[in-house]
Formats: sequence, structure tokens, C-alpha cells
Amino acid sequence: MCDNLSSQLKQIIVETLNMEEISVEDIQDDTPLIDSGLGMDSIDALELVVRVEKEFNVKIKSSEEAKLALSSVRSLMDFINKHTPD
Amino acid sequence: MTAINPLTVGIKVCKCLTAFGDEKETYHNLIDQNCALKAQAVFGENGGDNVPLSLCNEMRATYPPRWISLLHKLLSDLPDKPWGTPAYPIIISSSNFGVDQLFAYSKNNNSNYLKNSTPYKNVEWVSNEFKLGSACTIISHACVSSNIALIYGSKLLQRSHVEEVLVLSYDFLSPFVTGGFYSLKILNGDFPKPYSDCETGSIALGDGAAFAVLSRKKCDVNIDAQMSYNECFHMTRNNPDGSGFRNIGNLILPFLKDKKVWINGHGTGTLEAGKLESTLFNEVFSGAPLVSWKGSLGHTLGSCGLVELAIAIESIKNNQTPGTIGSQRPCFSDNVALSSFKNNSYNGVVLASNAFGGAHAIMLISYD
Repeated sequence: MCDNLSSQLKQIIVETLNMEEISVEDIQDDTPLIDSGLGMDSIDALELVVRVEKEFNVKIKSSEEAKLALSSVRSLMDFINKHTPD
Repeated sequence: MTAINPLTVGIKVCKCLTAFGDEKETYHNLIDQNCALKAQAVFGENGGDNVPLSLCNEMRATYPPRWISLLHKLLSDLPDKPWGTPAYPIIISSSNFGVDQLFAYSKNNNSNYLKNSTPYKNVEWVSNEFKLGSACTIISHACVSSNIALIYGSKLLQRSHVEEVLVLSYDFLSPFVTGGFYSLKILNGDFPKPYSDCETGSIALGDGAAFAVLSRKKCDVNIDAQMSYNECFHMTRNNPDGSGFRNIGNLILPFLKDKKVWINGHGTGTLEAGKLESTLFNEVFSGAPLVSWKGSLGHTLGSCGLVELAIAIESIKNNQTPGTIGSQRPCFSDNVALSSFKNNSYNGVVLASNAFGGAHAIMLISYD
């Protein structure tokens, strides 16, 4: 389940952000998504938040919560696992 | 980009409209620390999560638009001059001219909504409604729109044939605008606490409109200097080193000379920008008291500079400045004034606004 979610999220990141030079395999679970690491900016983050909310039926309530959730793939998995409706 | 106005420009009249009413009603409500914000559905009649909004009337798509009666109320106090002629030009600003109408059209295909759905059509329609002439300039620059309009209006007064300038600004909310900020997560279920050092934050949005009549002749309240500046750093984010706030503050600092000022900051309630503004202004303006009224009125977007100028003038007339509404200590810095204070011992106000795109604007108001 964890591996599946991790791969699914990495695929979403690559698709949403149109990362032509980066593949799913290049993204580690602990790779920082914002600024250093993948270098996502705030508009990228917005696109990713919208996609994650839609795909996983979760709600990211504030920009601070988004910043924490989008720290890395692992933090995003934690957020989804914690907030996915049963 | 920097624009410096070397003229001292008189503010002959300055009036505003908020969810509280006119500038007098708004001022007294702020003094009483009342909050105009209410938790309301982010998409208006179409529902959605509750977010803090302050509205003059119900946010719903209508034709004519819901805000035209509000503009009539505001402009009922407009001095009688041949506005829109070369000697009395008009500048109209907004951050979202007509987008409410365009959004309504996209939802229901009623072609009436297209009649004033772009900035040009919107202003033409307003000009016709209020029988204004065609010497009219449209300015839109996100949340410093009305500040830039004031700078441009002041520059027009350098031309010998211009007698007075009318600067009008209006920003009335629509689900398109509230939904946009909501999707950015900076408008959420929290209520704004400007400059408070807390773990989560939200802005709030509010309806707002205002006008000022600028004159070359000195008045009781004058604009001594105005500047704009752009960080050129990021579309939505301020440079985290605070250089944007430091630079705009330093631009106006030489004009303060021996003036003792209080400061009306932008203060929307976003944690990062709020921290940068309060700490950098504390440093640049040596601890001058800093207030924000957006914790009550919400952010009136492109009109906030002019709306808050009208309230600042009421504060000067009443010798009392409303404190920052909605916040509690600890604040990011000691300069934040949470309670109202007597301003008799001051003779100047600095009003600052900033906007998406790294734009900053600032003005120095003087009074005796």
C-alpha cells in the first residue's frame, strides 16, 4: 500500500508539473519538493494541491498545512494516510 | 520601478464605503474594535466552505451588478465638477473590473453580463451611469491599484491645465475572486490576525470602494510623497530576506525629515508577509506604531490603499487611530499597536500596500 501510494504520488508529481527531465525513479521519498530538491514554486504547489485533493478526497486547509504536507513525498503520504476518509 | 512625486498634493475630499458603511461609520466601528467579517460561503449562493468575508450586500450575480447601487451611495458625496474633462480628469482603478460579470456569464450564458465584463466596458458603463466625461484613465495593478492611481493622479496635477483629479477605486467580491484566494489556501476557515505570531494564518476579503479629489492647492491633509517599487522576485511570494519591505520603507524615509509618523501597514494576516512587514518597518521607521485594519474589514484588494487612506483621514480628524483588529500578542515585533491611540502628537502617516507580483506602494500623509 505504502509503495503503491508512493509511486502513485510520484507519478502525479511528474504529470502535474510536466517534468520532462525527471522520471518517477528519480524522486526519492525524502526528496524536498519545494525550492531545493524538485524546485517547485508556489504555482506548482497549487496545482499539486488541487490534484491531490481531487485524487485522494482530502482537504488541505491552509497554506501552512500545504507547506508541511508538500515537504516531501513521505510527508504527503503521511498527510493522505492521516486524512483519507475511512 | 520607482515613481517619486515631488509635488505636495492636497486631498480635498476622500470618502470610502465598506461593509460598515461610509468612512465615518467605518472609523467608529474600528475604534470600537468591531469586526465586519463574517464566516460565509466562499462561493456565495453556490455554497462551499465558510471563510471570513465582509460584504456590503449579498454576493450574488445580478444584472445590473450588485455594486452599482453601492457606487451611487459612495458618489452621492462627489463634489460637483466637470469630471472627465481635461481640466478635471478621472482615474479609475480596481483589481478585478468586471470579472464578476464575466464569471456570471460563464455560469448562465446571459449576454447582459457581457455589457460590462472587461475593464474598458466596465469603466465606460460606470462613466455613462454617473455622466462622467471621457478624460478617464484605467489603472489595474493587483492590490496596489489605487495606490498607483493616486501616484498617476498626482503626476497629472503637474500639468498646468489640470485643476483637480478624481481618483475612484472599487473592488466588490465575486466567487471568482474569493475562490481564487481560497484555492491558494491563504483564504481559509481562520480569521485573520494581522502581525500575530501564530501557527496558522488566513487573510479575509472585503468589499470596498473609495474616491479622493486631489488638488494642487494645499489642504488640511496632504500627500507629501508617494513611491512604488517592485521586488522582481516571484509571482506570489515576497523575497524572504525582507528586502522588498526594507527598500520601499527606505525610499520614503528621506521625506519624513522631522515628522513623527504612525503607520498603516498592508497587514492582511498572511504569516510570512506580516512578519516581514512588521519587523522590517520596525527597523526602518524606528519603532513607529504600526496598525492594520484588515482583521476587521478584510482585504479590499485593489481599493485598499484608497479605502484605508479615507479611514486614516478620519483618524486624523478625530485625533485617535484605531488599533490593529483581530490580533493578540505575541506579535512579530513590538511596534504593532493593538489598541487605539491618541495621534495628536503625530504629524504624519505612512500608508503601505503590497501586492502579488512583488509590487509595493507607499505614501506619506502630512497634517498639522
